[in-house]
Formats: sequence, C-alpha cells, structure tokens
Amino acid sequence: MSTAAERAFRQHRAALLRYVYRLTGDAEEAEDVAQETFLRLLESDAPAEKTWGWFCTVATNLVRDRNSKRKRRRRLLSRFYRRSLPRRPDKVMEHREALTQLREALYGLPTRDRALLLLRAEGFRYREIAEILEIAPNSVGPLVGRALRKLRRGLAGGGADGRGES
Amino acid sequence: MNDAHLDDARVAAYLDGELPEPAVEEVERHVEACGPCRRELEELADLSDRLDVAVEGVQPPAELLDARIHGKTAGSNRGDYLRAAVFFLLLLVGGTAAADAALPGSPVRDWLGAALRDVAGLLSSGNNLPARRGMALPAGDGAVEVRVTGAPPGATVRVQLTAGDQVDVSAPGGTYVTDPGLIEIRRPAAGEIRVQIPRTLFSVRVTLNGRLLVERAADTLRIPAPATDDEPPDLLFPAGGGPS
Repeated sequence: MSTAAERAFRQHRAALLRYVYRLTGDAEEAEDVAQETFLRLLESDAPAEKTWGWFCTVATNLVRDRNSKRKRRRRLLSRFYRRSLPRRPDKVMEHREALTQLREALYGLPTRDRALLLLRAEGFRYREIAEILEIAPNSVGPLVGRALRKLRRGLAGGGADGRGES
Repeated sequence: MNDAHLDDARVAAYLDGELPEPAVEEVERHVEACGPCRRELEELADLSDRLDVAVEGVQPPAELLDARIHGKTAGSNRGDYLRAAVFFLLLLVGGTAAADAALPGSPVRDWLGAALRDVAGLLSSGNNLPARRGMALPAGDGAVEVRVTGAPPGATVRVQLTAGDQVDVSAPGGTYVTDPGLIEIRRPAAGEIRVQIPRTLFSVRVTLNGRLLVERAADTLRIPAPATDDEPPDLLFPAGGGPS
C-alpha cells in the first residue's frame, strides 16, 4: 500500500514543489508543505488514484492554513528593489526589468489571487480551479479578471502595495 | 444589438477559452465595434502571456528538488563563516577604484570595521544558520548577471573566478529567480553568498542591493564597490547597513 502511495507521490513531487515554491516564494515552506501533503496522501483512501488536482488542492489548503495561523506579513520580495545603474539601452535588460516588475506585482497579490493565477498557469480549467480553491465555479472568471487587473495596477503603481496575506 | 461592454468575467473567460461558442461570437462582435474594449482585451491578453513567462522563470533551487522528502536540508555551515572571518585582509586588487578606496578616511575602513563586527556577531551567536542553497547557470555565449537583492547587514558576497563553464551561485536562505542569462537571489540570510564565475566568461555583472560590485565586459574589469581581498582572485563584498 505504501509503495503505491510513494509511487504516486514521486510522480507529482517535482511539480508539487515547483507549484508551492511559486505560490509561497519560500523553499523551506515548499518542502514542509510537500512533506505534509505526502502524509495526507498516506492517510487517504486509494492514494494511488489521487490526481494532480488533488495534490494542488491539499497543498493550496495547507498554504492557506499556515498563512492564517501565522498571520505572516508579506515578506517575499523587497518592495523597494532599486535599479542598479542607469539602464543600458539593451533589449535583454529591459525585458528582465519588466519580468522582475511583473513578479514583484504577482507576489504583491493576496495568496488566493496568486494561487488562482498559478493554477491557471498550470493549465487547470475554471471548473477544476473552483474545486481546488473551494469556490463557486462561476466565480472563477470574475476573480481571474479582477486578479489580472490588480496585477496591472500593481505594475502601473511601480511595485506592490504592501497588502498582507489574506 | 449593442452588446454590453466587457466585464472582468467575460474578458477572463474569453482569454482562457472558457466561453461557449455563442458567447465567444458576442465578445468578438463587440470588440470589433468598441475600441476601448478591444484595447482592454489586448492589454490583458498581453499581460497574461507575460505572466506565463514570468511564472516560468520562478524555479525552485536545485537542492529543494534533490533533498530527500523525509529529511531536512543540511544545517549550518559554520566552517564557511569562520573562513571569512579569518581571511579578512585589505584590498590589493588594482584598478583606480581599489586604490581610491584604500586611502585614509575612505569608506573602505569604515565598513571593514563594521563587517568584522558583523561576522564576529554571526559566529558568536551560536544560532542555527539557515541552509545553503545553490543554483547554477550555464555560461553560454551571452551576458550573465547575478543580482542579489534584499540582503541584510551581515551578508557578504564573495566573487570568485573559476576554471569551469557555468556560473555557480550559493547562498544561505533566499529565493531564486532565473531568466536567460540572469540569476537573482532575493532576501538571502546574513552570511556568505558565493558567486563563482568562469574566467572565460566574456560579459558579466554582479550587483548587491542595487549596487554594482563587479562588471566585466571583454577585457575590462570594473570593481566600483569597495571590497576586501581574501586571496586573489577572490573578492569579498559586504551588504552594508540597512535593508534595501
């Protein structure tokens, strides 16, 4: 029984670590959450049949629970990231700056919005996202639209607005 | 006949292919006739694409994927910090920046004292130092940038030239973000960040909290920031006081 569970976990382990790392920005937390998810897998019925969506559901809930327990203030990225020098007129440098700002804005969103966008980036459909986040299926569209607009506002504002975790 | 302006829900659902066909046609019909909505849709489509690229660049450090899931990652690395403290010598690297820095009353003397205090504090605190994690980037034939941000006082960056063919970076704690030609380390813990750069790399720059430490382009090597020299070709830079 445990061998099948281990196989199932190994199959999704790298993707799980990557998803949680992207969600939290913290390698230690990603490892803790992955470990806890594995324990949940062992405790579940039919561990070998758990889908990738199941892993994302458990991991996302774990992250949310940890956030609400600790009421941790956003500490992921410096919001005062300074440009090093006058920008080179270099396409590559500009591109990097833009990506950096976009990531800053992403990590300035509340966890739920970020989870939404990351799950969307993972390729989940709205119906699946609704199941994972335990929200009404027809609320996913409006939330995605709103999250994208928040992201754009975050970019225009020149960085995250310091909102804490929700 | 006049379709309503696009709201959050319809824009998102349209971009993500979640709308049924009749609704898709409605959206496209409206967008054909309505400039503001068309621009909005294009902007958010572009943002969505860029977001995919941005997310793709956030990759976990190699150690995270390699670590056994039942064990914890490695603990402290006191040996590293000990070495940094023992080998604190004044800079003799050459170049006008270094010469200026060595003059009496220069900033080098001030932060050298502070850096020694920081390292001494780190060693005597006896706390469990955060695990080191690393990331490697093949040098390729383009420019490489190593960017450290959010480093606290007590953090130092050691730049070493090596014979290898990849840029190796390791730090206590911190988050890694990579892009082609870029490794960024965000918010490392206090301690030594090691940056190893192949000697043959044509174009490289290393920044710390927005400050340029080292820049190499072709056969010119600039070291604008004050540094202490451990043993050539090592360069050691402290983060300095105050968060970035």
